[in-house]
Amino acid sequence: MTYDFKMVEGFGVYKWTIDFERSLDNSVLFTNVTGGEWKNIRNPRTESVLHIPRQVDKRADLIVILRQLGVILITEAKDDIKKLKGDLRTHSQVIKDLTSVFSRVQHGVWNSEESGSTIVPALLWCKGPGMRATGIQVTDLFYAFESKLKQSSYTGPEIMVGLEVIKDERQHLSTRGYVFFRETWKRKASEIANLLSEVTGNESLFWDLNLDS
Amino acid sequence: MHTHKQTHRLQVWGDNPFESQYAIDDLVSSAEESGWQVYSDFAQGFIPVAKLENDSMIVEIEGFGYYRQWKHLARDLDTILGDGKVDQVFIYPDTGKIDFAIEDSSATMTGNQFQQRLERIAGFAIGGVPTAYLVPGFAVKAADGGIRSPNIWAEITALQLMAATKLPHLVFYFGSRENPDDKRAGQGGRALSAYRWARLLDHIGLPNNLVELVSSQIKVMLKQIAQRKQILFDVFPEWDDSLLEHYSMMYAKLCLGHDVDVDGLPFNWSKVPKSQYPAIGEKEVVNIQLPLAQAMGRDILDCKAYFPIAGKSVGRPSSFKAMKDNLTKQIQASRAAREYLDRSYSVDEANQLLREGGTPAGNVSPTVMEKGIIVYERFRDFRKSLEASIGWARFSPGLQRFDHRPALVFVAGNVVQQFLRDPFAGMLASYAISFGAWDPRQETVVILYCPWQSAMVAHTMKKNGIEPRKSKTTAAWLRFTDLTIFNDAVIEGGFR
Repeated sequence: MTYDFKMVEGFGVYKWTIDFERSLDNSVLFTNVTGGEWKNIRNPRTESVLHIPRQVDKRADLIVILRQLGVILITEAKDDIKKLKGDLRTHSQVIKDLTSVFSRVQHGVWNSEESGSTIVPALLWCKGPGMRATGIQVTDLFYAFESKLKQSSYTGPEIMVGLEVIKDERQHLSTRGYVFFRETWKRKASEIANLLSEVTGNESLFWDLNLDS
Repeated sequence: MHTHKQTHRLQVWGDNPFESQYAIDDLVSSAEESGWQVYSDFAQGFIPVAKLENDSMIVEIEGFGYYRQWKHLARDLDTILGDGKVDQVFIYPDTGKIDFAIEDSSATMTGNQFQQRLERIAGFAIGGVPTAYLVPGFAVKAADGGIRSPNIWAEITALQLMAATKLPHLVFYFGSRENPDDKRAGQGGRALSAYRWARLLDHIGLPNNLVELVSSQIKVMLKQIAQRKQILFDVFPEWDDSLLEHYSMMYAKLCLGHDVDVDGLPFNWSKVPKSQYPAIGEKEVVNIQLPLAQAMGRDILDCKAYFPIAGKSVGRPSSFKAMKDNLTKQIQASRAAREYLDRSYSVDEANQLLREGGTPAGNVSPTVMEKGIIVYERFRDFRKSLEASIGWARFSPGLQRFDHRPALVFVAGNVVQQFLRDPFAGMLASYAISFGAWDPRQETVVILYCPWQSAMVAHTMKKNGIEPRKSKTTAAWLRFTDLTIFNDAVIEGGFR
């Protein structure tokens, strides 16, 4: 039996969460879908809370650690790619704030290897009938994102990740990764793209930002 | 030899997909512990599904988060969700039976936050659905690092709901003093898992310990009340700690479908003797001298009514400017609908609030009475005070029919544009039920007194009049209130 549903941002975050958890152990640190005990950022490896956001704090929607690459993705999500543009400035600030949280070792909670992870900014959107995201829309979004990151005194790597969720005509959800980078970060970007391809089962899109500059 | 296995289908609906997956994982875990074979997967790439199989049965489970995003959401459930969304709902789709609903709260509960979710639990209960409420028995308050335990309104509400609906409504506690906030600590998390599994076994006709689980959890709830009632209440109806076993047996029998003499159950507020009314001085009753507040104050001093709760009910004061702005908005909203209301919003009373509500810090406190709940032995006394102090309202002569009943006045003294915003709707539900609105022994008349709010906070203008807004808070208001006194209108409704 197939069930019809309306796509919302939370389904997108949930789909990426289950895809990451199925492929990568102890990978999901936080989702902004739930309240309760999940409202805190937790390290699933140690089953400990590593950060309690204040009620007034802006939050990321999905935070994932790719342990084998030493990378943490901090993601803002929307059901429609068009809605992300308005949130880029806020998300840049969230990334900056959380970078300092993740760089601190917490004994028994968050070790030196984890705290040495590279923070990579990420955006998540949903795509389906009536929710189209064209290649131009996606690349435009990431050029704009890079610009906002630079304006926010971001000092992280020149890599950004896109997490797309696709709803098909059969009401089935699948995922696809995008990796945008500048030349000096090509190797790391390539590793991330390959890992996302493994997680999703779909080949990731790999885009050198210098090509358009 | 190959035998045909009976197949049952279960749907787990959740406030989000994580909730439904969590419930399914929990059932899978219980099934594994009981020696069943289990398979888990995702349908359509993201719908959590599981198959539980033993020698004679197969149970196929599917999970759906975000109730209203699905086209096949059952109409019955859609209707009940109008009272607020609980975290998990268990439905057998082949019969359409909504088996039970769980509200799972991990928030650190202080004061009335514990009551915040009770209107949605009451909504399911009145819809004929058993409920369970999982709360932290011990939780760390981030603001000060102290450990907090919840108050007992949820337990009293749940037990009164059992008496009213003859269905189980249970409260479970997780965490311990040593391990606060830990779902694995304390008995509640494990007990709720066992209960979830026992309900499934019971539905499919397999041996289970459902009766024992219900009975023992009721005992846990009664113990919680016994231990904490003196913290919350100055007045408490007849109760005997040595009878906890008896009470729990009575409630268990009641909610499992047996006849019980309800006169023997606790929480009969209409039988509190006047000798137990707390002694109270004149200055300890009314903060802002509005006519109805003064009349109720006199009734308390004359022992016609009493404050049952121990603590004060003081809301957070607002700055003078914010209060003035909020009052101005009330006046404007009232003015726009003047022809449909009993009177214009009283500017004199608004000025009285700004004058008499002043705090030493220069803010304004809208708290009219010292405590927000007043119990009348008889509605008659309240009615007389109301009619004498509010000359501008139109009362129907039929009100006298309820004179013999007890009455509860809930004073919502806040000045806001959003009617009964959190946690007020839940507080209203829990007070109404706890003080016997649905208890056949009491049939308490529930009065909501909003001295600073225009009736327009709860209504929208239509072409030929006004009508209640459509929201979960107005749903709670309409369900639980018999009489509402706004600044500019008195509205009768309910009177079951």
